Amino acid sequence: MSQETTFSRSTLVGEVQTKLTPQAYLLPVRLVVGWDWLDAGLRKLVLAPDKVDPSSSSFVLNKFVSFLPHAGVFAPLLKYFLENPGTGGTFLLVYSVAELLVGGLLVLGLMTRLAGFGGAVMAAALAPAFWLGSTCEDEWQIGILLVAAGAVLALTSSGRTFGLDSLLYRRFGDRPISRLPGLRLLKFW
Amino acid sequence: MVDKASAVGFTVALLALAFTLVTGQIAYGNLYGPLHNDSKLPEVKVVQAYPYRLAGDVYLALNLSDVAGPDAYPASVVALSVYKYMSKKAPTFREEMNCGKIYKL
Repeated sequence: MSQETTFSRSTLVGEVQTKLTPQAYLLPVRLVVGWDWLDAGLRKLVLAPDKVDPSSSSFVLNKFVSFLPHAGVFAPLLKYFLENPGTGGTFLLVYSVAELLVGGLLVLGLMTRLAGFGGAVMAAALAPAFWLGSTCEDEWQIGILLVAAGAVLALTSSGRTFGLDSLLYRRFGDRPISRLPGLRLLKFW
Repeated sequence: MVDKASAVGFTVALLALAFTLVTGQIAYGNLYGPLHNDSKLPEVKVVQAYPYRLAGDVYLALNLSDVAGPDAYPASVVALSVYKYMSKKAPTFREEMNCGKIYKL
């Protein structure tokens, strides 16, 4: 049975009566964004591990050559990685593991808010590739959607419904990652 | 007075929107001014092309250059047709064509 709680809220347009949005409505976002990240990590680390091998022609960072022409302020960083494939390989490995982690956590609904925040930061870090697009603004569109979706998942508690966060919340209640001002908004689940 | 949840949501939305607009402007100029990087066709120029004989065979050396860098995913020559003097079509190289190699005709 659905429970709809109506309450009064002060908004930009004054006092309004509103209903809480059921957390379950966030499940499609959590699952799809989670699978998106999980797939990216699985592809590189499990299905085609050559992609993270600097000595392989499949090495993903070789694509940085094609990132360069319009990279603008990011060009020096990309050049550094191209000239130092070992460092680039380490970065790629760490990033791929983070993709697996963020994706897995989101799919499971475990520490969803922290994972959502991590996903938003990782998507923003792809900005040097945002200019790439064979027919339209592909990479930019993917990136901004992942940033926005990550922000939504970081602010809401989608893992508490159909997710393992329900167990954590029942046991520990709300847990911010820090008591510092500002960081209190960011919670583990 | 706006409640805390509304203020947080509005602030995060503003940040996400700012990120969207700034990166879109940097990458495509899709906010203000003329568009750049509008996924145009790659333009490849033949910088140098010359045939030469070696040990009784004829070779064609080609130096192809992307004029202003790729404007999409790695722009490259995906097909190249080579004709002999008598307008008789020679083999067409596809996919495997590589500017760094010299192909024997």
